[in-house]
Amino acid sequence: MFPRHQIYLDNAATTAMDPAFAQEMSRIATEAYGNASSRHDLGLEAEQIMRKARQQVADAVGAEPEEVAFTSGATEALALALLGIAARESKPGHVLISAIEHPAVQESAQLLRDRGHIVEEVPVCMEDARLDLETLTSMVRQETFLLALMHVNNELGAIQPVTRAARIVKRAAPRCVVLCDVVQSLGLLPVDMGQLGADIIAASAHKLHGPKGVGCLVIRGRAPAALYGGGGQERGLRPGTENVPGIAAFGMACLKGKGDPETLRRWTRALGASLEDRLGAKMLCDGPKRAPHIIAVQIPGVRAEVAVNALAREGIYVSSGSACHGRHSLKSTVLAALGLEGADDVIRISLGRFNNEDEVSHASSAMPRLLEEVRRKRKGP
Amino acid sequence: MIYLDYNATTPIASEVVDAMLPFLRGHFANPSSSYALADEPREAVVHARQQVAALIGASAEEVVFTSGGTESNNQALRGAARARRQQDGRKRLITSAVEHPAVMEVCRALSAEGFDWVVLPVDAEGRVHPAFLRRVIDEDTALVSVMHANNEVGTIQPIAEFAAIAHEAGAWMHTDAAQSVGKISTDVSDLGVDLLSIASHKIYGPKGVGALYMRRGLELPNFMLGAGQENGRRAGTENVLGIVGLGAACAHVGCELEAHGVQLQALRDSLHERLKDALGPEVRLNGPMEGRLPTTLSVGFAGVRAHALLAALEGEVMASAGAACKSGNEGISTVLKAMGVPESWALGTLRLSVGEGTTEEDVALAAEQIVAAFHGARS
Repeated sequence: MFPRHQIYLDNAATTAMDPAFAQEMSRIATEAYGNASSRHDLGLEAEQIMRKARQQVADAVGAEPEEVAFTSGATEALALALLGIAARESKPGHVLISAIEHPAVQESAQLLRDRGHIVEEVPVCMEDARLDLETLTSMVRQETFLLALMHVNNELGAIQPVTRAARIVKRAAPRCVVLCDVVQSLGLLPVDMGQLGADIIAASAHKLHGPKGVGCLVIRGRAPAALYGGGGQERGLRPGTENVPGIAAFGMACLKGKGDPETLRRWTRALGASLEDRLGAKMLCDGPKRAPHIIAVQIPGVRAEVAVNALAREGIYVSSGSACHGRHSLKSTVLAALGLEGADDVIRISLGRFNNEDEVSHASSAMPRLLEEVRRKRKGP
Repeated sequence: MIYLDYNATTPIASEVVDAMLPFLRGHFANPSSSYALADEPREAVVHARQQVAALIGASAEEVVFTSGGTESNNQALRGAARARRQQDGRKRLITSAVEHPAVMEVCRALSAEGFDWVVLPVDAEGRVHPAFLRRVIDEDTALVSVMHANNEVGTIQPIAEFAAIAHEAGAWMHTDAAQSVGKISTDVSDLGVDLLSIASHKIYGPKGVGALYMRRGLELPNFMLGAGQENGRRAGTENVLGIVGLGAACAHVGCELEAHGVQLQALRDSLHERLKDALGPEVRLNGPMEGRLPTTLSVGFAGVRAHALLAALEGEVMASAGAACKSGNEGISTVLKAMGVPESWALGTLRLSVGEGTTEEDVALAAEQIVAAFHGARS
């Protein structure tokens, strides 16, 4: 997939497109270019392609195809869910989000605050970055109408107790909508709406070796109010001429997934352990409740930004925090939630379907060596 | 089969595919990543932004990428309405009666939030007259939004005149240019607009991407919130592939725009002539002879239903009865209704739209097939 000298270990930021998807997208864009709303042959063909993709996405999450609404990505899906569910409320109410949600959730939640809702953040446990269920129990109110809890955190890989959290909030607030961001887990962990107890899930194609610019919401029960007005596509929930090639690739991506969880877990652990052994680094949240493809490692004495650049110069790509923060140097609220406020020595290594044993073994020996050099240089001769 | 539905969507141009291929096959990094692997996608977005800006005579930083024309229109209307209400309490929104649903539906929602939405009528050719606007605009007007060219009948609106009137009253001017960009000259300084919407898939680019021109200095509240991409104006990991495609599409349609317009107009007029020659007074043009998109021919057929015609044309000609997004429901198009087209003609109206792939042979054959379908449907 990559030239020998490039080892891409930043699959939580985005993934390389599967060549089979690229080929199919290219075919659809050139041959099946009809507007899916048109009633002629090309339009019907486009609609047919969409129908298949919708079924594939629905199958991947244990839903019905008519519960799937395609969007331009997870950011839009999350904004639509948060703002749209809140818009259905007749008066300002109570919203809970976890303290480690993606900025797309945090920012929309801020807008809800501006609109008069009370939005509170539920903390996570310091040792494993999983939602503190006891505190959740004490925070939920009868009038809580929304809980946003991601399935897998994008910076640490911590798998969240979604099923249990959903049960807790539903018991206290039966009409509360549970929104689950499955961007990192889809295609890797079992994602079943019923089992998760989620009413709405949001997903993205580009974290699954699919294209950027495509995502979806899957909605069980009451639909959010639409964010846009327009030509009525996606049952009015998300109007706009459909991105048929991208949607087709998203469907295919749901089938192919992100790779074998056991292998990915072994690899992330090997990579993390190599840094622990030689640099006295520490894997964060490494346990059975860590998603197999993400490992965050704290390396004392090596600033993450410096580490990322040093490794990139040698063709090894990891990140400091999430990509969305990469160029804006926002403070990671996720690390803060772990009690690592202001920590600037945590890198994230994340794997995907196109990584292989060779890359992992090469990176396991190269990374500690390169970072040791960084640390030595910093300390001076 | 002959495709005469270019106003609904266009095939992707081969130059656009060529530009996109490297990004389909590689260059996949997230533009927000800090390492050099992300340089290529990041620079590609910069380049595409320049290409879009060049087509409409804007500066690159005035272009925001979106997921398409619908999002651009929604962001422009909702953003401008909220911004002006906050800034100076203005609450009036003025649109024409023939706007795309992506404008109409937003205004409907905004009027439920307390905005005062005024709809300007159009004349029998689908034109909005500046005098109509002068009559209703006031110091309370936040935004005037009139589409540059109509998607169903092709009527081109005098946007520059509307912009002057809007600015005189201190209002902002938006135009939905989804149908005009790449077909006629669409220059933001000539038009004098503050906001302008572009859809990629109408100009031989990919679906799922668009752009919004925001005049420098304009600040709108954003409703796609998240990690701060697009300078904080539109969050979400950039659709690099689509953005590259939109940029290439803008470069593609911008090249020899006028010459292409002349060619397309000749094809369209040939189609019209052939229909008139065969059917005489039984075919009737919707929209003006002059001041119409070179691609668009909306014609009514006497005594038949458009859906019967389209059914008879199945496997031969692909066209539509109105806008694509409404293809499903049979009813009179709101555009034709606003123009006062008699119901019998409106129900028998086809929108035939030509584009880059259309040839003289296509229009000759399509005309024959349409005429045959007409006679079949009538008998």
